[in-house]
Amino acid sequence: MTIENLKYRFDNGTPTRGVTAIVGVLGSGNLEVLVEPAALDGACEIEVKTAANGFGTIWQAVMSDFFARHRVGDIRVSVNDACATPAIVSLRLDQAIETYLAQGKTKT
Amino acid sequence: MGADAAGRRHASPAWLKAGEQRRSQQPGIPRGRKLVVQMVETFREHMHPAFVAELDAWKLAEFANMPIPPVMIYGDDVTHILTEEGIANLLLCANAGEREQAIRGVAGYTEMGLGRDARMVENLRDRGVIRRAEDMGIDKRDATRDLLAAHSVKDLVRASGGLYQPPVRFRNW
Repeated sequence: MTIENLKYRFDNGTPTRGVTAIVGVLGSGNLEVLVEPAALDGACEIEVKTAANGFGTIWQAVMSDFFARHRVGDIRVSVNDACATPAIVSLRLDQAIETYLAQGKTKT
Repeated sequence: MGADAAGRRHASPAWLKAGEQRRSQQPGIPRGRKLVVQMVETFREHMHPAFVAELDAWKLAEFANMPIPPVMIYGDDVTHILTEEGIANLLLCANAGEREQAIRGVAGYTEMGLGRDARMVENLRDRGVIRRAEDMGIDKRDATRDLLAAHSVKDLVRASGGLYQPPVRFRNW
């Protein structure tokens, strides 16, 4: 089984502060998402490692929608995917970013 | 299945409301409408899209020498389509174009869904033809197994008083 590596970068997000968060599990049909703070001049960088090959266009659409929903910058998102459906991916991304931001608020 | 004998002796609130909603688009004598809700995930196993431009039934009809494509439930019998992206109420669509966009608007990241007219879909959403979880005050993050009566297979075994014996592959608890 080969692992496909995909990278996305979205500029002009709102710089945010948060605390590193991880949600989900690397199980069949599921995925884990890690969100970390990163000095990226307001950009949001996403790296995907997926066991399902050849779905680059769908990943691109899922990630663009994710960034359009939250518009958060200065974060690095890492995704380990085990063939989750796009709906599950969107849900986990939302969960991860909301956990990241919520933890950032309680800290300050 | 999709059968809708239009006459009915005993009305139900849902049947009456569906008829009323259809009449909002196709005026006529007051009558009811059976609800036919298609619940489907946008992708089936192995990422096969559930929404397609042409049904496999066409190929099957040709291959198996059938007089017409074999279809169990026709699209025009369906009143609602429910996916993980939302619910489309097809009764409220004014014409075929709106109906198409209402379906594309809940088709997620399938090719059909990606080919949507985003402006028209938002317009349908404003009118309540398409409703997403957040439009109904539902936070998807709350949808965890905490809401289930049984949180695990073990709970099911316990609830059945030992009558349910799960297949071996579910016994990893």
